[in-house]
Amino acid sequence: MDIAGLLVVAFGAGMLGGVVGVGGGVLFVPALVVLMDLTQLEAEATSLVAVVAVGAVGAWRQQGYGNLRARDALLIGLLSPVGVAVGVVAANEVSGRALELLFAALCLYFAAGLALKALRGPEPPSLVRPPQ
Amino acid sequence: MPLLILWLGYQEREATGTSLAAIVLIALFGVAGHGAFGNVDFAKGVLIAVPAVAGVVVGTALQQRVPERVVSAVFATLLVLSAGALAL
Repeated sequence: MDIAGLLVVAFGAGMLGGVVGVGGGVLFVPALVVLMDLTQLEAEATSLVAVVAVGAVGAWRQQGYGNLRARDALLIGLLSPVGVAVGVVAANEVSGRALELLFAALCLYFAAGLALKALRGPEPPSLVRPPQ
Repeated sequence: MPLLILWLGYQEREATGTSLAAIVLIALFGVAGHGAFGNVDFAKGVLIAVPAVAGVVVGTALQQRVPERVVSAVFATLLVLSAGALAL
């Protein structure tokens, strides 16, 4: 067990979550496996406790900055079990390796889209918002 | 977050804020499910949640000070790393 290391990684994961809007599980899970000797399953399950906290506090902060569309978030969150169900069916129909490669391709597709958007040039001033 | 930006026309900061709120519900479903099977170590979960919450407060504040396309670029990098980890 390496508590100090865990605390540092958890802080970094939270910070990443704040910057790019993820829950931090991508860092929590390996940290719990390597530094706290949890199994992969226990680490994934346990990391979700911190993901809830990061999401809640992060969304609250972003609401204060005017960056939250609560109704859309509620819709996405409530629809997520449908996505999980589809994923479970897919995982049973397709080989694990094929799913990994499919998901990797999806990551690259979105990465390319975001990179193109980032490269497209200077953004319009976003601090001045039209009334909603 | 990329879906919100690329398909629904969100700005980056709005996408991250909305994504974080949706994640709360998604993770709550996960905690409930895994908790029912006894896989959740709540003490260790709280142990990582406390510094992570401090991190997200700093991260969201930092995000307001960088151009939105930097947010896209950081996320794109994260996606490429994830794709690499999945493919290897």
